[in-house]
Amino acid sequence: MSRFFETRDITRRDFVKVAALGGVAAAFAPLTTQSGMAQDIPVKPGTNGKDALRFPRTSRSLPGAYPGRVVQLLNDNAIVNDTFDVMALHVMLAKGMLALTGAPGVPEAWRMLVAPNEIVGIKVNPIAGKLLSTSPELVHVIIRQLEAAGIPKKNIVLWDRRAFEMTEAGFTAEAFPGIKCAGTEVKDEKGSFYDAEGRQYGEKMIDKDWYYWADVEDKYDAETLPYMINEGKFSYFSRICTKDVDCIINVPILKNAGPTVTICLKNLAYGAITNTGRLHKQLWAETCAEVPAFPPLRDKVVLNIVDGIRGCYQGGPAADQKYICNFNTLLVGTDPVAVDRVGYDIILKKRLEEKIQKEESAKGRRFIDLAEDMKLGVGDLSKIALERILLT
Amino acid sequence: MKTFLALLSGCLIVAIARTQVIDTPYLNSGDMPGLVVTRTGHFDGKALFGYMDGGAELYREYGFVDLTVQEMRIEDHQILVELFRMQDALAAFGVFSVSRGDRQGDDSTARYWNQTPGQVLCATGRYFFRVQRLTGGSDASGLARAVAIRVLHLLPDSDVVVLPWIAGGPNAQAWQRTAILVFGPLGLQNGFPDWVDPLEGGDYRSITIVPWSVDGKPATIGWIHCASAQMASVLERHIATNTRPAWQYIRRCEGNSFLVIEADLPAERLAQFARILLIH
Repeated sequence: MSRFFETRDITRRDFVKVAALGGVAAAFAPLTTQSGMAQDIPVKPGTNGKDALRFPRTSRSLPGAYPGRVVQLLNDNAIVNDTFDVMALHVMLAKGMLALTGAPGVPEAWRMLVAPNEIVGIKVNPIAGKLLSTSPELVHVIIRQLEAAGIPKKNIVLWDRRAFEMTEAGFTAEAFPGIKCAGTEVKDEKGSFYDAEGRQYGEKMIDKDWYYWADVEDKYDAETLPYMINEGKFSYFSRICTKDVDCIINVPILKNAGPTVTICLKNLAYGAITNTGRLHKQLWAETCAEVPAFPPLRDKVVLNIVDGIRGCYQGGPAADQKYICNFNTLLVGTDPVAVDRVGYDIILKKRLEEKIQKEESAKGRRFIDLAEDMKLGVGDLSKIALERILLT
Repeated sequence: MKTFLALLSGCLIVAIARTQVIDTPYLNSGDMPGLVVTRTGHFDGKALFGYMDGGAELYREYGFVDLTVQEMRIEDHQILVELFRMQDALAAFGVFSVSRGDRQGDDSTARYWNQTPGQVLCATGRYFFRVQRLTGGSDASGLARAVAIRVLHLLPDSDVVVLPWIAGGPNAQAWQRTAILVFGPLGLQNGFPDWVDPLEGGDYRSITIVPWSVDGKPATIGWIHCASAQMASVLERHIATNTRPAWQYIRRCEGNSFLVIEADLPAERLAQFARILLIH
């Protein structure tokens, strides 16, 4: 077993001890501001993000096996007439894996990151519906390559926050026979979030030993609560990532969110915890950078594959067909910060070309800078080794 | 007893969730030849997070009431209709104005209508709706339009929104069509990202932005309205000291509001142009 497969069990006691210290620290943390304005300054709420840095890192911790390294695959024929060319996707991913790892063959490349006896979670992003979700075609290709590397189907789990959104985006047991599809927020066949005892199914899917604390809260009405699972100042991690899987392959899509982007870090952060509604407005960048720094993500994410075959450059994170385009691109890397930085430039370039904005906004890269501070990877473009491979 | 109460409250929550009545207009199967509605969902208040997670914040910023989502099949193609009921007509216009982007596809009809291949955006009265074709190529491009027209017929007739800063001014009609109405940072990010940094942290109630041209050169006009005269002064100073040189003109209009013009024009010409605006 290579050094990348070392793991360290973190007990609840460890976490509570560290978190308690952090909670106090957060309460007395210096207040930060959003701008240089002298008055009427919004104050950033405190978080327990720095607690994540106290957990000893493992050999598998992000930025993973290849810090600062990103492979970009481009193929104008990856999608033709709105239909994904699965063979083209297969070749793109295979070449990406070889270029990233330097392995002599594709199965060997995968086995440098994933062991055959591990439970592999593939984190997809289905939130924007059929038009702008991780493509099931690409996930099929990933699964085939994992199988060829010796990882049996029974060891593969497709997951996201919302099981029902996965179904709508095409991630179903019928479409992926033998593969488990799991979500943290779950409805039963009658469309209810609650079991016969009035308890949310989602409550059984969270792990209260792991949480992201932030000094901001929101009250949810009865309709919203099951989409958030809980209120208050705690966002709990899904047990899918804390307990059910051994490693995670992150497969976000290439899309903007205003002048910034939602790619690897956002897909991990907002996809793995509960009670996210309160975090969007004031702590978006912090959440993207800090949540993935906690061990359930930091020590399990082994690879990021950005589905940029189709993406969007404006209107995101929701799907707005006017701005959905074919980037014909896959980005592959273990370092989510470096991959996000490269993805950010692709989207920014398109926004400037399309005159959505005249110049870069300082806000756009803030979450990347914060993630670098959290030691999750390399955000400085001059230090990123980007390899571009053009395919036809 | 505790178990009984827990059971009862759980049942009540489920019952409330299930007995929700949709009181906004929606399409039914058969409303158009071959139309089959496959799914209808309704999201109130914060439940919008359940539908679009972080994307919900933009609609909340403008004042969101509810959303009816319908998926339908017509001529073997899938169509998605999202009908947002906003708190008033300005809110509906505002969301439309920041969603239509470069205005390519705008239609100068009485209502605000933007059509691009596969998608129609429209604001009418307090409603904003989006119709998207989920499947099909160019041969199906008329479907989204046909469905959008059908949705429009379901909605009550309403007067055209009149933006207060523009009404009665020069080029009022054209400006009305090109204006971007911003109620907060997310509206600005989506509708006019170039002003995100200069206004970062600024406390304003609304900004009406008109991308225009003077003497053939781009000129962006912004009417910024704040909650108080003090806030307007703070923001005015902030912009004056933190913006690019092209932000040449800043002038208080009323107690709580001021005018900014971003343009690369000679000072005299700019002042002349601003005077025309301020008269109105």
